[in-house]
Amino acid sequence: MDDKTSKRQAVNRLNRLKALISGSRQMEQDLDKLIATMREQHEWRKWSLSADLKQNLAILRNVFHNSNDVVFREFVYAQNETIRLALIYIDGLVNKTQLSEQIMEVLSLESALAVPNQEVTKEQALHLICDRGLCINHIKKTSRFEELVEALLSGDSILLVDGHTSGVINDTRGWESRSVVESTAEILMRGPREAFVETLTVNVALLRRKLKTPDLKMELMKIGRITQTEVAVTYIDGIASEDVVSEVKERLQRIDIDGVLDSGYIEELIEDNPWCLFPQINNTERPDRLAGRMLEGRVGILVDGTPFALSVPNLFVEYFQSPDDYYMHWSYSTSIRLLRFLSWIITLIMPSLYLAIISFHQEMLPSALILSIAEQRETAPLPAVIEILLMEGVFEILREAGLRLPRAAGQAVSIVGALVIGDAAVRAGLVGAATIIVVAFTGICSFLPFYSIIIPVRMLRFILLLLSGSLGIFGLLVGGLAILINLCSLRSFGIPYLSPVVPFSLAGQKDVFVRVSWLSMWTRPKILSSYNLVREKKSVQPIPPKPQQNDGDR
Amino acid sequence: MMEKMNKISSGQIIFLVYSIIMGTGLNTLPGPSVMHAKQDAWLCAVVAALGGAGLGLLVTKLCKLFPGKTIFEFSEMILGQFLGKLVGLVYIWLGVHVCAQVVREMSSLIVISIMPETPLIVLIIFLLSLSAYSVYGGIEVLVRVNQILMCLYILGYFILYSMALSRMNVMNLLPIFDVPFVSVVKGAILIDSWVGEIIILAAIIPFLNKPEKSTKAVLSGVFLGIFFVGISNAGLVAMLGPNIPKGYIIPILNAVRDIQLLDVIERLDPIFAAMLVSGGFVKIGLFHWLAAKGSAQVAGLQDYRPVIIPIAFVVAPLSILIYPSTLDIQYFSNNVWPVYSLIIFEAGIPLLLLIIALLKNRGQTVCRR
Repeated sequence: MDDKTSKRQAVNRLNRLKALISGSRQMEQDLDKLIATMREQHEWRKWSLSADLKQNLAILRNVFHNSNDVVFREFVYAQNETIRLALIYIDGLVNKTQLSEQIMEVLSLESALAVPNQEVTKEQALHLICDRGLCINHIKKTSRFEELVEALLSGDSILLVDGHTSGVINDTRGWESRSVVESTAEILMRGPREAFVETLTVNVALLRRKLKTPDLKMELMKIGRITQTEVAVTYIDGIASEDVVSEVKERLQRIDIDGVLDSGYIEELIEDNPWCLFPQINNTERPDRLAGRMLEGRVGILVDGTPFALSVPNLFVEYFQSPDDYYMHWSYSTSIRLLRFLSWIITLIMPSLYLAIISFHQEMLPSALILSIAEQRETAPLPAVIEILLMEGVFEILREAGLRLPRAAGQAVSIVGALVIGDAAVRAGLVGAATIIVVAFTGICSFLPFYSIIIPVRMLRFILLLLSGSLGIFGLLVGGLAILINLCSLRSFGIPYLSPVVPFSLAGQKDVFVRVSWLSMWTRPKILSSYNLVREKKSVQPIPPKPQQNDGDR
Repeated sequence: MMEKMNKISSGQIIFLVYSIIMGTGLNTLPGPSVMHAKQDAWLCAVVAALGGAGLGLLVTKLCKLFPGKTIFEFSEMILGQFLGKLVGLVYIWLGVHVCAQVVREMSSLIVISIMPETPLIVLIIFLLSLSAYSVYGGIEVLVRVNQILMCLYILGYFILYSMALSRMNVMNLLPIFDVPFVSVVKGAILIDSWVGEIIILAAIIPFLNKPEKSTKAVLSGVFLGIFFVGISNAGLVAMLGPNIPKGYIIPILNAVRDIQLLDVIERLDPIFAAMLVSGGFVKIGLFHWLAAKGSAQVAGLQDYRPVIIPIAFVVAPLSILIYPSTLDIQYFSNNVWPVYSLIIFEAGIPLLLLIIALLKNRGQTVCRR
């Protein structure tokens, strides 16, 4: 009932609007009022185009009331001057040369020159324009206002023809965008340099250039009531697990939010356990990294407007696998990877272990070392726990400042940090030199693993410091066990976070602590998808040619 | 959604059995074994392996008769509702008691070894909140945590053992077979009363992905655990001799304290105490889970999560009340625990259940004919 009445009301309003536009303009106040309600309630979304160009334009003008960047250009058709055309576009989102050369010029001049004596009636016009007039690669006809407005906002231009109830959407998108440049967040020694940009189409093309298969699927959906952000779910059909793909799509469809400005919004909205500190969805700005993950059976999520693409399911070990692990010799990659695990653990426990030892278990240190530390502590005014918490805090501030400050000022900060805080504080006897060494070393270690796995550690470190400052090594143990329990209970899209270590999978160990040679990486990780596992032919190792009989030294 | 990896694998069961035995066995067993069997303490482990195999077979046999059912469910099927629930209550008590015992043992260990001024209750609260947190995650989480911890535990064990080698004197192990066999059996019974705690598997085996493979896994775990007890006994005797260990509360801790390498690595007891507590923590979590799961199943609750915190509140005061002092822990576990646990929980009731089940089963098959 309600639906019917509201529909009838809408029709009534439309009729009144029509009467007002076609009739005299004496009731302008009434018109304004009507249009205001129309805009408020978004009724135009339900309307279709009418045959009257004037009326269509009036509705569109009112939809884009007070939006100065929307351009309405009316002109006449070259072959029949009684037919009026209107081109509508948003300044800045369209390619203007394309617009003037392939639409305006063609329709208002050249089509008459090409076929001089042709008689074109009003009924034929739209058909002829679409088939012969427009020189645009991709056009689409529609009669719904909603579709027209959405296209207009995405950067397409609209051509309306007088006397026809459908408009033409021309793909004339073209806006200023950043060109593909080197990645700044993920720096590698070896490997492709390019990184994703803010435009979805460019990113999709970058990915397509890596994976030249029709099985590479891209499913588009729009998320965000106001931002209408395009989100592409991308995966390799036949490798990615269908369960995960459908789960990703289902979770994305469940999102109802006004705006999505970065993939971070999506990440938090579809995470398995949003209250946990550890990231359960991985991100990257490198196409090669995403392509590598998709080849292992993961699903990528590209979001328009950000260079950071997401990938799921996400495992803990991924943060220790860098793309150049796979490009450089396996022995080097393995040792660097072990170093990354080690430095992650150092970042997590080193300050608290130091604190526990110097304040509770001094007997563990060799006599020479404990004497030198005791000497430093003698003059230090603060208790060890306060001192190390303070220095960790200072380091975090310096690090954040280095990130946010303008590049020119960054250097000043590092000098102030190194000289004033490091050297002067020790000389003044405010903090012990050993504390500075521990904090600085921990800080440097935190740059080795991928940065998203360091973020939770930076926060947890302070909790561990408090625990070990109050309970010594037992406190550290309690904190460490709590983190371990948390990691063990996490899942990312149904896959246990710590796999393939727990639950253990022997085949999965080829790419966890060690990265075996590509010669023996026969299968994809079984944990991600259970079919299409074969990755390469076994025994492709080159065999030295057998010496020929007459090949010896002569 | 996708829950395919939800079950426990038989490899994880090996680690689970290992940690049930070694989780508290490393700090409790070597001392009394050496006290009973002197330099032949390692022999206790060999004898205990026989009894341990029997206990392992008992549990797995019982579980195979009732696939997919925990001990709380099949005891009702065997003995009827009233007696079955009574047996269930007995095993809930086992969970609560062992949990309290281990919590107390571990916090006392921390107090006597590294933090003499910390009040017990603080340590108990931390340990129990940690175990409650892990039990909230469920048995799979506990088993996964255990897998990682036990890998580190075994690694740490071997590192410490190899560091201690330089201070060991193999001549301390001689003469072999010099003590009366009864003393060796006494030590073996003590070890078996630890092995017998694998009765908790009667509540875990139903969650295995391949329950039919459980016998092999349980037996390998039992032998692995007993092997480690054996080499710890031998190592302790080789390091401190047959007579010194009985003077210490936790002799193995004193042995580790003596390790010294390159003048840099010395006094490793804080690290070792942390290692022992991490092993004990797994046991606390497991028996906390047993008590919670059991109470839920006996009371007919769908979910065991609501009873986790109440059980922790029972365990915390109990762990302080059960022993008047730290020395009583040793007395209880050497003299009372083997008899009490083996006769009631570990061999007595399971054997009774098995016999009745087999008799009943035969009766049923006869009736069907």
